[in-house]
Amino acid sequence: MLTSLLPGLRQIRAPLSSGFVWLVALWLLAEPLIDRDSEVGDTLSSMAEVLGSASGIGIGAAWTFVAYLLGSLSMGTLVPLLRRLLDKQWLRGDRSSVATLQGLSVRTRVKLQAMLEFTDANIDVLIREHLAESRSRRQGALAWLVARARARWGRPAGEPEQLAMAPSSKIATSLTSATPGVSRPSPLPETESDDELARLREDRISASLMSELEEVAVSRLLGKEAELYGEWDRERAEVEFRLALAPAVVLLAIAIVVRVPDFWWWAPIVAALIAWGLIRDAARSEDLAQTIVIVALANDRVQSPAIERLTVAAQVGSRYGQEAEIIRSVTRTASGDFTNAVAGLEHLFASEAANAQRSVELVDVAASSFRAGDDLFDPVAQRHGEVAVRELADVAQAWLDVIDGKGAPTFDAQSRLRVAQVHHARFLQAIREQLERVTTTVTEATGPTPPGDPVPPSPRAEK
Amino acid sequence: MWGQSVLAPLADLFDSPEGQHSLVVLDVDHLTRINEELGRERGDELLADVEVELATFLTEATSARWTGDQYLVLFPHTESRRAASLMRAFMAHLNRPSHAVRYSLSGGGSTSPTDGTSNRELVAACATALATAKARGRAQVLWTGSAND
Repeated sequence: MLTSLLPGLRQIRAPLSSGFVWLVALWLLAEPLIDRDSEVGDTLSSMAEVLGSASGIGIGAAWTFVAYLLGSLSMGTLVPLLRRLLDKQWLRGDRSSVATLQGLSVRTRVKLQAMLEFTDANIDVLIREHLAESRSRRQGALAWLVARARARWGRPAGEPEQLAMAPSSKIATSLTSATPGVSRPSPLPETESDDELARLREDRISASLMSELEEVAVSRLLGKEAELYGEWDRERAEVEFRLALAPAVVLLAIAIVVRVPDFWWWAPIVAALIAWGLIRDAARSEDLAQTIVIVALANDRVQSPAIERLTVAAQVGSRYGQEAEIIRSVTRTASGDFTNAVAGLEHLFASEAANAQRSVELVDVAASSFRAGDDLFDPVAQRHGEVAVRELADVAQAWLDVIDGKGAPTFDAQSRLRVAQVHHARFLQAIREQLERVTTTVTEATGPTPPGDPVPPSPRAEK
Repeated sequence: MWGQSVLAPLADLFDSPEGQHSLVVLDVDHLTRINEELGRERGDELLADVEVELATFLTEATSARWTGDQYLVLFPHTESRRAASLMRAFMAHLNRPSHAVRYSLSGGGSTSPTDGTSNRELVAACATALATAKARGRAQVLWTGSAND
């Protein structure tokens, strides 16, 4: 019961507290300016009479309501400004949580590379297409924070040694360009070393993770990890509370100086110290709130939407990419075996009749190679492949009949070889079209791939 | 073409399992070079000459042109040693200076039932021996078994 009430109480604590301070400060400032004989004075006197006729509880409720209104107004206007200032100037980032975040980014990058290793899908394109870019100054500042923490503290525990190098100017440029107000990520710059490229990818992942911490907390922690969400919510409420109080305290100090000139020298100092302490505490609480979400992510208690998007895209790319690679490989083998078999049979007609047995074996090899692609080839390609192999098999059988003394072939074996070659060419064309379709699917899942070898296989010729 | 005058009788010979039968596949060495240097007509004449020489010299055998520049020679009821001996004599005959165009043959021989009990097996064994003869410098007939000695 109490647990479910606490978030609600935290919600009203900040506006109410700051509202009372605002109220006192404004009253101190405004009270000497009010002419009691004017209309404003009359109105206020009437209101005081009405309040005077009410009970103590009624008076308290009325002032509480006014304070709440004032506090809410200040939280809607001043707190966002202060939060921006906090992100930009005050957040230090907890060393271990930034290291944890970097470790998570390294893990994600390595996993993605492993998934896409044997495919055409490009990891940089995938990152560019599927990671959220910094959408605000705050998120940009957070991305910058990761880079700055890396530069200051070096590699996190467990990260390979080469990642501890200071960011190169290219990476720094890239990170800065990816900060404020950029709706789409800047293209990954060309780097001279794989290590730099890997680090750049990790920084992109880190930046995206940082920008989604609040979303992770609200959409993933809530419900699944109630205890962690409670901790996160408490720290965030502390941030809100302190940021809401800070400007009210400053105004109160000004009001005191105005009303009591004797205090002119110490009231501003005390107010500045209190405001500084409040913002400092707010920064610490914000760091803690981020740490809670980062640790939850690193321990797989919740999944980041950014990593989920990347993983799903990589899975699709990996599955179709591997399928395309298998199709290419099987096609290459089948096509090479087909070419060898044709060459063998042609040689039989020209001069190498003694090698008939070997040529027949080559046809068998080609037939089994085509059969290996039965479940992979597009139906059109499969049909052309079957016809091509069948023609070869007929010619080979005719040769076996010749050797068995059953007489010359009853058909023009040379022309049957030509027919087989035509069907082989159509088979290759159908495979190309099939691979283009697969490539389109991969592109839709992972983003456009760099130009590669979309077509299979030039037939190999061993003979 | 197709060597049916040799292969059909060979297939018939396997109907009765008794006796040894030898088969030789011959190949004209460097025919392509002869065609290029002396012309295709002389090459064709040479191929016809081989056919005639086989028919006239190897009277115990049945021979036929198979495909391209390959020939089949069947020694029915002949063991490998005798067939090999006859082939060596034929190769020596080809080396006589009376021939207008000097050429040589490479060959591979096999004998049933040692090297096979069907046309396919004997032809395959001949192909292997022929490939070995070419690899060893051509102008020789090698046997699959011990008849080379």
